[in-house]
Amino acid sequence: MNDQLARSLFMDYLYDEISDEERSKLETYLENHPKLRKELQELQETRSLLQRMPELNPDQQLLMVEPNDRTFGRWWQQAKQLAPDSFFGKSVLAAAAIIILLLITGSVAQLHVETTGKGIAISMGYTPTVNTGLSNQEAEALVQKLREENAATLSKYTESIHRQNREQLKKMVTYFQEQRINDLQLVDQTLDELQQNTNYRLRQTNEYLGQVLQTVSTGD
Amino acid sequence: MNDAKLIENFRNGDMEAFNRLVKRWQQRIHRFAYRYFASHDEASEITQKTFIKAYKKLNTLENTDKFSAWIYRIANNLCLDETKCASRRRSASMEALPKHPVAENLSSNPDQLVQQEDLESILQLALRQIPAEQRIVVIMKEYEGLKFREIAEVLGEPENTVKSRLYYGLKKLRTLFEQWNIELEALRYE
Repeated sequence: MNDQLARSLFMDYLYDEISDEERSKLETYLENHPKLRKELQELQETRSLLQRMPELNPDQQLLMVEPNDRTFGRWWQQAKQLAPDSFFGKSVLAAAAIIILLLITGSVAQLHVETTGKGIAISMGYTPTVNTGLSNQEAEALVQKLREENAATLSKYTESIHRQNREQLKKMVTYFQEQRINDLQLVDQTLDELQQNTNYRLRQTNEYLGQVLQTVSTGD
Repeated sequence: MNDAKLIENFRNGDMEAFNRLVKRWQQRIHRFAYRYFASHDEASEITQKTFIKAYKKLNTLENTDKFSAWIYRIANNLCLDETKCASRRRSASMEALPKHPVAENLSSNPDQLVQQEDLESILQLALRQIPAEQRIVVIMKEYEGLKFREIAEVLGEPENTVKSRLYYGLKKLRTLFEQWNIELEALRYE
């Protein structure tokens, strides 16, 4: 063995992956080579230091893929977990389930419940009566009746409109006549005032003229 | 029920079998990614992506007995991809990274004892400062407890390459601890 070969066995020796034979040879060689022995010891100390690293415990878990092969048993277990825990919750759930079941059963079996004065009648396979409609004669009579009613209504409506129009017209004529009378009275009054004013002015003029003539004759 | 049986059931349409695989493996994958990034957010993201990829590709796994190596390989590749993306955003050289505040104190005051939570952050910082390929081997060996053969299978590398990466990884960690004056103090804490 030489130094290079001894070094090549260091890792196997340090990590206990060396055969007994090689271990023996190496240890024998190191006894006579303190420099190599020191080197191995330093490597061992380095290992010891590295081993002081605390263990890791990652608290987070990776997201898992949702299994796609759920059996009926697993499905039933998961369904049971969804059920409420309290007695009240279970009772409400049971009542709701019964109502839904009755509705479905009634729908499938065509269940019919009818209340009469004599009691309640429950029947299955119920088919509701379908209205077949009117005959031709009944339809014609109905149409004729509707036409007559419409004509009467229209006639009343027309008469009402005419009456309203006449009243409106009458009111307008009355209004215009009153307006005309008022206008005539106003014109008449204005003419009277004008006449009086004219007479007054004529009288004034005559008085002035009389005074002028008197003044002229006095001067002569 | 072992992993191979769960995979068989999943392939036959049993989605619950995949859920059981996730439950069985998510903690290990999360721990692996957390040791790699020292970040719960990034670890959760890597874990999520790992199982999404596993879900899509599980039908292509030929040997179902190799599920362990297969799922670690997916996680490992995602970690490396993320590292490449991150390295474009920031420099990851040893010199560029700041020294841990506790490590700074220990350098100036060697008598100070290291608290457990400080030790954890120092170890995480040290792991972040060794090359990714060495870090992965250290994590798989120290914290996941995989055999050299299994790590070689995950990485698709010879066992000797795995051992070599582990050897150099431990040596670099030792150097870092010595620079930070960590080791003796931590051992004293024990």
